[in-house]
Amino acid sequence: MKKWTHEDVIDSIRNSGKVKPNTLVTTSSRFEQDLGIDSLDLVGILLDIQDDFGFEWTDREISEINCVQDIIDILNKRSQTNAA
Amino acid sequence: MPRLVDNKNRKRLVIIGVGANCALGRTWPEAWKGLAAGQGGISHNEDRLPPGRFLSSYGGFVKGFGPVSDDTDERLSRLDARFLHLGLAAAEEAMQVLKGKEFDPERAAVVATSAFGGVDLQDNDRMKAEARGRLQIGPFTVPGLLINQLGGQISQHLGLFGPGFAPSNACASGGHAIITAALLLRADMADMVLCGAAESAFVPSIYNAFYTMKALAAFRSEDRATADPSQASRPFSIDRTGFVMSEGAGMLVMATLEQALKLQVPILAELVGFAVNSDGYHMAAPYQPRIEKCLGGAVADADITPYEVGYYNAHGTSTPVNDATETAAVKAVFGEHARRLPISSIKGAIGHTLGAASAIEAITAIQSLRNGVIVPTINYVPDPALDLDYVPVVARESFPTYALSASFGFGGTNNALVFRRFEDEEMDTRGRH
Repeated sequence: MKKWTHEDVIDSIRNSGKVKPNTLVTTSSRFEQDLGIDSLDLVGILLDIQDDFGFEWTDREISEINCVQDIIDILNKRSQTNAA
Repeated sequence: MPRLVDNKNRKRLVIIGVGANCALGRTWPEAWKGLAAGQGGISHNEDRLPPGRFLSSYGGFVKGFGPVSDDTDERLSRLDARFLHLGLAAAEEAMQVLKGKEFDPERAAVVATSAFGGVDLQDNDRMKAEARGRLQIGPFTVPGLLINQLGGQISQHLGLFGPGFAPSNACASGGHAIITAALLLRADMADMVLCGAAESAFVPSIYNAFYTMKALAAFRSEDRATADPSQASRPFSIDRTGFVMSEGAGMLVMATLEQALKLQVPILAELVGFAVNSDGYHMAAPYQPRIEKCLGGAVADADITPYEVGYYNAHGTSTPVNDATETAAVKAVFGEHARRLPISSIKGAIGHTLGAASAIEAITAIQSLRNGVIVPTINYVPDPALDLDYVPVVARESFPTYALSASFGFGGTNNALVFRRFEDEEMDTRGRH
């Protein structure tokens, strides 16, 4: 897995073409309610992040993602596991 | 006030709107203009059909619209399947006539179909997944692949909430959709139906398979299509070698005459008869006896004699077997009248749009009745074995009362539609169009 920052995650979401221009994306943004991203678009974004960051989501991880922070939490956990 | 039922006491059904796109244009008026002028829309396009991926590069393309072009429908940005974009555009065009009209959307059905659906989206997503080295595949593959998604998108974006069907019957799909629409109206399940089909199946697995099974046109280097690709499709001609695959869409708004009168819209033509049957014979080859039954059945359903049919809009694919079989069937059904009957195939001009073909051809038959112009079979060079009047090369002025349009699909499925010119005196609205 590549090195990553919170900004990288937010950039991936912002550059996915699924967020309307001028929409604020923060770590607390919820995909459906705040960003207007439905579950199918979310899967598309997660596939892109997986490719860009070089890892593979588990089905369980994908089902637990509701907001940007959820992605960061999972990536943190994965980074710790990799480091250990 | 015209009678609302026919001589068989069935609800009279009329066409009140049409829309189409094909290799000759992005809208029906544009396409009709090209057809009537005897233009050819087939091209040799190595961008769309790159050698190395495709066994040939001849095709009929709707230019400058939809996925793989700069002009795409934002509403369908997640569904990059061209049949959806072409189909929704044609549906919107056909519905123009109802702008500002009040109708019950729950009584407006959608019968929109395709032979292959979103195979282009599926192919692209599969390739992306393979390039990633992943088994996971894009989340829009399944919704965009589904044939009934066309009806789904039409319903969603045009606000039609009545019954929805997607009768997929290979190269007869569009005609089957029109017949399904008629059945829904006669069963009182709807007051009007948006019906038709769309197709864009330019993926190697389909194009190359048609080519390998020798259904698609293949040319030697000295062939006239090499110098002029617009001559690749040549129905009923001595040197026909197969069909040329195309994309496009054709959509019609059909309503009961009662509903059309209520809406006060111009009536383009009346659907007076139809027939649909199954060969029970072969997976791909046509079967003349059952095609005869179908053609004869439609004429009988229209309550007319074969002599009254003044234009036969042919399936005319430009394959050796179809054009010979169809000619023989027409002779059997129309007898002596077959020699006087103008027959033409628009597939010479726009190629074979597969599932969409019979919808676009039905619209052509309707426009011929309205305009008194029979569009030609272009690229025609006589075949002594096929000796009927194929309206070669140049359009002909003619004012038939009845036109028959027929289509036959792989899997042994046939349909035939009989349209009648709607007379001025029957309605006072026609002149306003």
